[in-house]
Amino acid sequence: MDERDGSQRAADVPAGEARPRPEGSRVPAGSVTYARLLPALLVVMAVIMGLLIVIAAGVLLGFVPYR
Amino acid sequence: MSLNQILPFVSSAVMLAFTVSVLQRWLVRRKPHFLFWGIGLAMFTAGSLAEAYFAFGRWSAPVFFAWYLFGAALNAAWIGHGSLLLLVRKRWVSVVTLLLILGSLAAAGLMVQAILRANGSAYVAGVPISEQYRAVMPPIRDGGLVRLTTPFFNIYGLLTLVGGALWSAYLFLRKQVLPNRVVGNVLIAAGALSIGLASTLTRLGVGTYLYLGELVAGGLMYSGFLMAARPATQTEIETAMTTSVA
Repeated sequence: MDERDGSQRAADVPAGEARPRPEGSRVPAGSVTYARLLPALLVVMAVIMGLLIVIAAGVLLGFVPYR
Repeated sequence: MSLNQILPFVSSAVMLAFTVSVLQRWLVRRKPHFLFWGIGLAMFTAGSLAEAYFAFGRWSAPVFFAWYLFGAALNAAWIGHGSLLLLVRKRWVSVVTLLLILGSLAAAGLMVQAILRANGSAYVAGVPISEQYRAVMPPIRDGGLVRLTTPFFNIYGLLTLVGGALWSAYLFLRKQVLPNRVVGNVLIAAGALSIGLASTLTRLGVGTYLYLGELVAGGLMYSGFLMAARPATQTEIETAMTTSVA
């Protein structure tokens, strides 16, 4: 549910000049959170999602007892 | 009142604020993904409100109808479909939209059939509805066919909502941009998984954690939405659009 339609207007930047990158638009360099923790979390959550789908499919196909 | 009687009220308040926030964005931007998110969240809110009603210990067939159809069957699929509309802009998505609407109408029809045969006298005041709905619902062979539709909707909802959030987070992470959207999408995925886990446990006969799962889901997804939807500068938007899979 990320939302990509930002509402702020473009800053006026003269032609030919590099637009300054706003603070906070880049992932912090060398951050353990973004380099290790969050990727690992994504994998774990993907695995949990897969397991839940398998269980739901099992219920549907009768492999998992429906109560 | 027990914790399981209080939790639906808190969840309802959180989900109502979340729903209003998303529908306000739809009113301003008129983007279809906001509408589907808003409808799905309104369904989630309806389910929570139904649980809050049952916390008073009174049986009501229409409230049970809303609890099962909106709270248990449809909401995840509609929220997830909003994510699909945002992430994939292909013609086949329109076909999926049509299938979702027709499938939801069919489920509503089956739920009418089920509610006519529901055993309201089996309802026990003071016991969470998630722990006793099986005694109230008719068997699948005797008008309870709607129960077979919930896995389809929930599998679709899990794939699109959790899968969409994880995919978005991965793309932003790979590009090393917009950390707020990385974290926001991780929170949304975690919230959706918490209700997915609680719902699965309920389906397997353990309904005790459903209300807690709903509250955790509402809180995490709302926080994630606010974080991911924070207004971006034009440079951020341009960078983000390059990660789109459209």
